[in-house]
Amino acid sequence: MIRKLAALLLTAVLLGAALAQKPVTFYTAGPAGLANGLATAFTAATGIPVEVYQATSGDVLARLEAERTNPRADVIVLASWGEGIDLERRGFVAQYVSPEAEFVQPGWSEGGLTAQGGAALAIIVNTLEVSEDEYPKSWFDLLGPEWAGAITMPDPGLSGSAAEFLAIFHQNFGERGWELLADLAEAGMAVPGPNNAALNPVLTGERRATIAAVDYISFNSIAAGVALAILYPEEGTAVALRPVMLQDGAPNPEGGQAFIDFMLSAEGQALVAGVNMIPARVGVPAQRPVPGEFVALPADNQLVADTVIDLIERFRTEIVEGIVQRN
Amino acid sequence: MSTSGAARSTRFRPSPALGRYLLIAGLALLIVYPLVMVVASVLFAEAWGARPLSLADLRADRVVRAWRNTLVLGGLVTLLSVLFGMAGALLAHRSRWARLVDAAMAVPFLTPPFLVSLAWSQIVGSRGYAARLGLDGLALQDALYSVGGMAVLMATSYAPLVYYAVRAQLARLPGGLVWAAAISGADRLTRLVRVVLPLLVPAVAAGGFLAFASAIGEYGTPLVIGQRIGDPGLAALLNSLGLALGAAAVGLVVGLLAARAGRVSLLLASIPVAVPAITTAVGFIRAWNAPWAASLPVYGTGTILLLYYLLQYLPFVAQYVAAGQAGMSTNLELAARVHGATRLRNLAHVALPLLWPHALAGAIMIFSISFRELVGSVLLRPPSLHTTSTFIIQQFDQGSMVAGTAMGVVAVLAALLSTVTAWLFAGKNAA
Repeated sequence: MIRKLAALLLTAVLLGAALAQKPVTFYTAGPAGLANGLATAFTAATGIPVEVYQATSGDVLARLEAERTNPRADVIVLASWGEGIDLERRGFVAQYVSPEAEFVQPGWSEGGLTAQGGAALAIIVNTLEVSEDEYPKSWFDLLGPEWAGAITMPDPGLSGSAAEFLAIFHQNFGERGWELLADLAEAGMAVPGPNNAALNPVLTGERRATIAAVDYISFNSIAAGVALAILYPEEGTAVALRPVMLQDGAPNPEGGQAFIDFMLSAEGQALVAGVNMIPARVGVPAQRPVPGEFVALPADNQLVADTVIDLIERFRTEIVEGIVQRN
Repeated sequence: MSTSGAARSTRFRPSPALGRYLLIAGLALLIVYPLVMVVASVLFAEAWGARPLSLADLRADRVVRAWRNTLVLGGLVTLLSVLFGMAGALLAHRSRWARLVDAAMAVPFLTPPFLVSLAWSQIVGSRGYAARLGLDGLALQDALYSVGGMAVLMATSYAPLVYYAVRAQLARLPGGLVWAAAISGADRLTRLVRVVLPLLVPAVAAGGFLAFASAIGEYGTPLVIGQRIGDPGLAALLNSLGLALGAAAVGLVVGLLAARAGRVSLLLASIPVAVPAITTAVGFIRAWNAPWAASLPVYGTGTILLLYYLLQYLPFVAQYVAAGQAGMSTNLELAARVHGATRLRNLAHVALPLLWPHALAGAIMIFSISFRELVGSVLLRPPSLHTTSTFIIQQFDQGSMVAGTAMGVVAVLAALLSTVTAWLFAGKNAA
């Protein structure tokens, strides 16, 4: 009884504190579970409430754009570093560098952007359809006849992380990489839509593999008993970093800064690791392979931001329209 | 027609013109102002310090190409919707199963389009359900993903717009004309072609127009926004129920008045259906989040969604009622006037009983489509408020296919239940 009363009292105190504080508004293109987890933990630690708006990158960007004359969001997390740089170049990002940013991996913080975490873009196969000795070791193994008509890829025009893959892949492999994609398309690769649309045919067994799909969702699926395997080709693959930033003109900049600090703290980063992303902070254990355990392709992020739009367009005209015409 | 008659007579009415101007001003504020904000933001992008959302996309020739496809597809969808909708309405008319058909026709309209495409993607293909039943899943897939296949699929979604307009018209068909034709020796086919069909033209035109506009509006959105698809689903369900019900109730009244108050207000009330949902939504943010409007409790609260549903789908009621008026004999209203009925009496005792089925049909359509609306809801919802569609899409996005699908089924059933109840109520009132 007394314990109940005490709990009630504590709740009331917390609630009172929460009501007294100006809320932080958080727009995120990341997973909803992580966003809510971070918000709850932050509120418990500071008493500052967090309003979470979780949507796709496209929706978050459209909303920021439309709200430009009167910004509503304090903190923003996007699914692609290139999009973050683009936003920064257009004046959406306040130049806030969190004191926690010095603890993140080298190169994972730049200007007003700091990585919240990262995910690799891998080859994901259905283990009921693909035996272990068939697993591709190289991107170029996928040109084998056993993969004809068996592959999907997310559309870089719709998926920010697939666009990031395209740009980094092109930086590293140049025209050779482009020919690979064209040959795969020639051999019947499907580009059905965003990440989920590419993964679904692999889950049902209709297709055997998807390439350039974010890996952390599939780690979660495997943990839930789904028959998938996540493969990293030996040449290496792209790692998409997810930038967190304070919005320029944020209605609650102090609260937003505190939330970013929390997100990058050891406690916040443990939550990031908990959804099978690569934590940004050095020393926070990952629950999945990290660069080094697989080969991460080097990336020039400014170049990604410069080239990604043209590459998406080129992908559409050369790869997607080729597929459409063949059908 | 009736309004121009009223303008000529000066004997009664306190000041109907004032009411009409207020209505027009209100509609202009709510509908035209957000659109002006979108256009202004495109024209004065530099001064506003923001890149306009869609200017670059609009310039890109890919969108031009897509629009050409959209227009062809939209035309095809409209044609098929008119065919399906009219055939359904004529078959249901005077049939014992009419109420059942009414309810059945609501299902495709109530089902979110992204759920429909997801369902089909599970059916077709070499490993789909069809293939498991021994059918050729791949051939089915090719057929479905052709222009014709997409048109048929979309037409099943939009045929109800024609169906309900025609049903409402048939319920109010001047029986005397059909009788006269029958007495003069016209057979069933002649009566259908020469008497009934011409009387249905306004309803078919209204429904076809709505189908076309909805088809191109909804199809155009994924180009701009991408088609990527926590808190308890029950809250989301209740939010949607409340918002859709509110939008339908207010839309019923405003749409009816707008259609009655003359051409200007009818035109204003019909604008939104021709504007893509994404454009309206961006305009709403620019209009109601502007420094001079941000302190009003509109943007950032559920009100913005209510307003959006109400205005985006106001054309349903306005067009249905206008179609009803076009098919209505003006003699009754003139007769009432001659006998000294005031405008209000005329509206309450003559026009309203005749237009009621049309208005109600439109309001039910507002409810149904608001309940499952996605594009605008995603952009406009306050951070912590979910509607059924935004909730479902978030579940899919997080990989919770089962939770998303389950919520989808519950949502469609809930909407169907509400719609059937409304139709039963309408049936009782129309009889």
